[in-house]
This record gives sequence, structure tokens and C-alpha cells, in this order.
Amino acid sequence: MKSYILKRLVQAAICLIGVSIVIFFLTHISGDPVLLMVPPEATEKDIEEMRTFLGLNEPLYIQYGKFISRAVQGDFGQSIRWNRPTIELFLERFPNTLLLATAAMVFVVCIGIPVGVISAIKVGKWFDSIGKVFALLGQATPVFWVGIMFILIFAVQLKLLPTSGVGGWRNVIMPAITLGWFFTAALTRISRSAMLDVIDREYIKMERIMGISELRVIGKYALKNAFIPILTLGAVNFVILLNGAIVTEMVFNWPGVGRLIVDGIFTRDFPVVQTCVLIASSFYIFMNLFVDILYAYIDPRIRYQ
Amino acid sequence: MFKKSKGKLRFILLLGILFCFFCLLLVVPCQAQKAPKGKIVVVTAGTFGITGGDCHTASGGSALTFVSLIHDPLVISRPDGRLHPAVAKSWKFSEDAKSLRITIDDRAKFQDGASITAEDVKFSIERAMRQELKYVYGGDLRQKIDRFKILDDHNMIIYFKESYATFFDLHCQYFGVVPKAYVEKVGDAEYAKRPIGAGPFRMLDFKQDVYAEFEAVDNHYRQTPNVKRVRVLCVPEEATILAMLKSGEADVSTAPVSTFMELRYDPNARLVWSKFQSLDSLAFYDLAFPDVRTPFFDVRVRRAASYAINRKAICEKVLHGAAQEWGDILAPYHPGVDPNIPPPAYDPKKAEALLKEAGYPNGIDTTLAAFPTHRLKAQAMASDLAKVGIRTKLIVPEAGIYFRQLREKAFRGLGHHMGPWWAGKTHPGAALQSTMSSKTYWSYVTTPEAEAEQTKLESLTEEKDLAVQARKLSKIYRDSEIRYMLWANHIPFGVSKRVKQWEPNPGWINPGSLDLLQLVD
Repeated sequence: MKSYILKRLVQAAICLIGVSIVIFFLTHISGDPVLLMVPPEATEKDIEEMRTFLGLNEPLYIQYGKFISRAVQGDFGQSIRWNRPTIELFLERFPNTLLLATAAMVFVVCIGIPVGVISAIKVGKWFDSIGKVFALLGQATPVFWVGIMFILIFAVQLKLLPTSGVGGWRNVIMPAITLGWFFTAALTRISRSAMLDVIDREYIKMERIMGISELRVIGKYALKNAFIPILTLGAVNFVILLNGAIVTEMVFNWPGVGRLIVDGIFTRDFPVVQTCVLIASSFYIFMNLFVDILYAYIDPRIRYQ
Repeated sequence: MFKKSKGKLRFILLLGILFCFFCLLLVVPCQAQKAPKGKIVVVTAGTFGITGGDCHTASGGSALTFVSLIHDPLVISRPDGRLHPAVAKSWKFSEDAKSLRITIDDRAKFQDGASITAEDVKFSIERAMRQELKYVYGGDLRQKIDRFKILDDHNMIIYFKESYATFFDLHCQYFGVVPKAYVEKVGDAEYAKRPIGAGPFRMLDFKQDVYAEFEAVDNHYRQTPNVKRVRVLCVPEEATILAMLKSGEADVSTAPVSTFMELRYDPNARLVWSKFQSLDSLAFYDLAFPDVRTPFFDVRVRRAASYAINRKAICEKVLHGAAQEWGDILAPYHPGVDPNIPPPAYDPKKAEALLKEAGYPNGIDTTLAAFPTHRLKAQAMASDLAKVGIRTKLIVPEAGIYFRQLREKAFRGLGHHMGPWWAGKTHPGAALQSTMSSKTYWSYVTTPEAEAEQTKLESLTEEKDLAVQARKLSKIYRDSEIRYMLWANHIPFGVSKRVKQWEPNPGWINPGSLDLLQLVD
């Protein structure tokens, strides 16, 4: 088991180095931040002075070496724009993203699983048909469109909720539903198919023959066994929600990490983009590592392969 | 008896007059110092463009709003399009504009009550010159400031290395005077978080690129604001800004470019305009490469391209009135402007004839480069050009790539070119600098004659001389036909119905002069 974990850790470290190289070079070839910082009246001399000051005239591999040697010590550098440590900017925004992702996940779980389960039980009936349409719409409609429609209906027309921004619980409702919309549909589908798979099994039929109530059969025996794929998808979805809230954050003016990345890209604030993407990638890599270790623990065949 | 009652009457009359006099004494100051009240929400697009509330980190754009709230510059730009005294009560340039004598207003105070001295002004300019703070015009200051001479607490002379008559214009929007003692005590990072300026509002709370909260300074030396609180929000998405204006959540905002027309018919909001922000022109990038002869080296082909474009239709149908045809290189707020100069004419038949005359009866194939936010304008231009036989391939790179290609002179053929950036600058030398000087990459193509006249213009300080020189430069530029004027751009602002009166500064891209805003009672 120890050697298996060690092997996985080495693989994760290699993966992180690869990601850091890709992020670094991709951001640096996308343009010159200095040209976005200087006014139209700036002379060539001003531009060159600023480039030298920011260290952008050095060869890319030297810039990368400096970046990575500082990063391993926990120093991700200073934002070119704001003269502040990028990690400070990230940590300032991360709680907002976490709140939004958690609220969206609550919506996903509370709607996706019940709709999927009931659709499976009532297979072929009207509820199942509505459930299928709901799942199809959820996966087919773009997030930005859903968001704008919510704003138009609930904020501009009905004036029930604020259009955007952070504040109280009312500010969370629309962004959370918008963000969770797609994943709710996905979870509805997976819950439905997992339940359909389980409720046809012999042991479920046996429970029914034994006269156990339908609610108990579904709640205790069927759902418990159908939960494995649902949980796996749910866990992966949560990480995606954490890292993939960019569009929702832009539409609802939600000050999270996604907006920070977009602003960083537009202003060519390389250190900010590198820090945020590197941390987001680390989430994925470590989540995968954790799942791999967990599988190996549960299923010994994996660690002996 | 009669005498006695007459005396009594006089006494009562005197008392009455005295009473009225005291009432007047009480009422007059109350009216002059009307207490600020109410709260407004101001929305800016993009980022705040400033670190915290530190004006010397302002990098452009939305920083205009921030700086104008917290800080006061030496002279201030107002909605009438002129410069007014602020921290500097009076000023005088030397004849060659190589030195500037400033007298500081002895009423001017920082928000902590400390008086503003010449030392504070010197410290502020030197601080803005520090490269690590990245003040937008820091490079300009480093290049031109020579030394300071402090005469006393309220009088000083700034010596420049070269003529710097544009000093006030470049440093009246993003620059502010900061308190030396306080900044030295708390340091740069802390100053950005808890700034003290001389502006009409103090900053209460701030979150980078999210929101900022301001409160009016009572009895401000220059202008006590009418509104007590201002909340500035940074909203990146245009549709969201529109929704905020429609729902009444925002009181003042840069109206979304693509959807501002909707506000024309909205009962909850109205449009106000910051006019003459910049000039768009039709540029011939090929002229920057005299070794590679292309059809655009023939002035008849250039004229044909200009005649082909229906400026009026584009302003009305594509830009919905956010621009107007304009023939001068100067804006209405510049001395020397001639509003009677007609915009280049639209005559597609003449364009075709000119092309034929130049030896291109079958037309020409070329490229047309444009900035991403100007794609629609460029598409309309390309369509007009194609009608006369100038077939263009549209090149619209992403903003950062566009700037790089412009700097590297990677564009060829035609360009929908932005500039001059008037941006409310009242000195025509400052407003035309980016277009006329070959030292700036924005100019792309200029002529030695225009550049020499521009240098002369930049050294003038008297309005009469400025008017003559600006007019001369305008004529030289128009006669050179290296570019043709297209239209002057206006910036729409959405204003809620709660706002009774507010006028933006002409040419400003973001809301300013918010201390003058009045709410409905």
C-alpha cells in the first residue's frame, strides 16, 4: 500500500509540474501586459522601462525558473496590476466561490436525486416524462442564458431578488440555481439510471415479496445500493463547481476566483492567472489522488495490479 | 402721549429689523453649507484600475471615478470642459513652459484636517514618479520633471527638463495630492487600504474590483457634495449592468455599449452623454512602409476609400447616435476648433471613378484591422468599401494581441484607427500627442511637419496662441491625407430616475464630478 501511495504521489507531483509549465508558457505567449498598462501617449522608452522593471525582458525559461522556485516556497509572486501578493487576492475571493459552489451543490442534491429516484420509480409515467424533459433542458441550455433569464424575470420584472453581487442569502439564490442547473440535470439522469438498474434486481423483488413497504424498499435497500455512482458523480461535480463558476460569477457579478481569473486574463496579469489555475489544478490532482487511494483501500485488486 | 407711543413704535420696528437680520445670519450659512444626504450606487465596468484608494497606482479606466471621489488634483476638470482651481489656487507657466509656479489654496485640507502644503505637492509628484506604483503617467513625469523649489508653505516652483505645458491636462484626472506625513507613517500598502486625500469623499470600505463605499466630507474646501454616501460597484457583464439600471439598483453607470438604446424608452432610467471622448479615423497602415509600394500610396485610392464610407448611416444605424460625423482633429472643448469643417463626404460614385482613374477599374484587395470592441463599426466600413470595389479581409484580434500588433507595426492595408484620444483633455497638445508624435506607437503613421508643429503646440500655454497653433496643425494634418476623420465618439451613461441632476465631464469614459450630483428630494 505504501509503495502504491508513493507512486501516486510522484505521479501527482509530475502532473503539477507539467501543469505549471503549460500555464506559464500559455499565459506569457498571450500578449504583453505593459501595453495594457501604459496610456496611448506612452513612448517606446516608457514601455521598455516598464518591461525591464517587471522582468519581462528576461528569457522565458529564466522567468519560469524564478516563478517555480518561489512557488515551492509558497510565494506565488505579486500581481502586476495590484502590487499585492497573488495568494492574498486568491484567498480573498475563494470563500465566495466556496459559498456559491456549496449552495449550488445543495440545490443539485436536493433536486437532482429526488427527481431521478421518483422518475425511476414512476418509469414511463407523466412524472418520468417531465423528469426527462427537465434533464434534457438542464443539459442543453447555456448557463449564461439561464442566468440572464433569471435576472430578467426575478429581478427586473418581479423585483423579488437582487440582480447581482454579494450581500445576504437572497443574493445567493439565483447564482446557485444557475450554477447548479446543468449538474442537477446530470445528477437526475444518473440517479434515474442507477435506480432503474437496482430496482430490477432479485433482492429488491425479494424484499417486496416479503411484504416490506414500498417506501422502505426504495429508501433503505434500493437507494443505498444506487448511491455509489451518484456519490462519485456528486464529488467530482463539486470540484467542477468550485473551478467552473466563471460564467456564473461574471453574469451575477459574484466576486469569486472565476472572475479574478477572467480579469487576470484580460489584463495579462500573469502571476494572478498562474496562481489561480495552479491551485485549481491542484484541487483536481489531489481529489483524483484521494479517490485513487480510497479505491485501493476498498478494492485490494487495484493496489496489486 | 403721542411722542411716547411713536418712540415705542420705533423701538419695536428696530427690534423687528434686528430680528430679521439675525434670522438672515442664521439662514444664509445654512443654505451655503447644505448638508449632504442620500445614497447613490455607481457602477463601473471592467476593473477598478487602482490599488485600493491610492491614486498613484491608477492605471486608467474606472480609476477616474475613484480618484475624483477621494483625491483632489492641483487643478480639476469639470462638466463645462474647462480646468478649474483645486489644490492650486493659481498658477503661472514660464514663457517657455519649462517651469511652473503654483500657489496652493490655503483653505485646502486633507480629510484628516491637515492643511495641504507645498511639501505635500512635491512629495505627491515624486511619489507618482516611482515606477513600482505604476501610475499611468509616471513615465511622463520621470521624463520631464527636473526639480522643485519650495518658496514657502503655499508657494512653489516646478522646473521641467523640457516644455511641459500639458502638465495639468495629463495630471488632472488620475493624479491626486496625498499627505506626506500620513503616507510616510503608514506605508504604501496601508495607504492603499486606508487612503486620505483632499477630495470631497472619504473611503470607508473597499474590496478590490468588487465594491467601495464612500462618505461625503462635510465642509469641503472646494465643494461639499450633495450626496452623503456613494457605493461604487465593479460589474463586468453588460447585461447585468443593464438589468441593474432597469431595476433601479444602480443610479449612475457607464451604459452598456451594445444595449444602451433600451434605456431610451425605460421609465426607470435615462441617458446622459459624455461627448467627444475620442475620434475614429480611417488609417492607411501601408504608408508606414514606404519601401513596399501599394495602391494606397496613390492619394486617389485613399480618397476613394474615404468617399466610400457612409459615416452618417454608420453613426445613426450602427452606433445609434453614440457617435457623430466630425471633420476636425480637435474636439469642441479645444481652443482653435472649427465646428464648421465638414466631415469627409460620402460619394460612392466618385470613389469608383477615382479608383478607375488610379488604374484599378476592378478594385483592390486589402485588409482592414480593428479593435475587438469596434468590430461592428469595422464590418459596416468593410461593407461600404466593398460596394466601390475595395474588398477587405477583416482582422479583429483580441485586445492584447491588437496592441502588440499595433506596436510592432504588424498591420497592413487599412485600419479603423482609434485616436486622437481627446479624453476631456483641454490642452490640444495633450489631446493630440498620441496621434501626432512618432514616439508613441499609437500614431503608426505621421508626418515630420505635423510632428514639428505638435512639439510647438505642446509648449504653448496661452489660449490665444494655442488656438492659432492647433488650427494650423489641424489643417496640416487634414491636408496630408494620411488619415481621414470618421466620427467623434460619445459615451452614454445610464442614470436612474432618483437622480435629479448630474452632468458628466466631457470626454470622460467613466463617471466623474459626482460631488455635483443632486438627488430628487
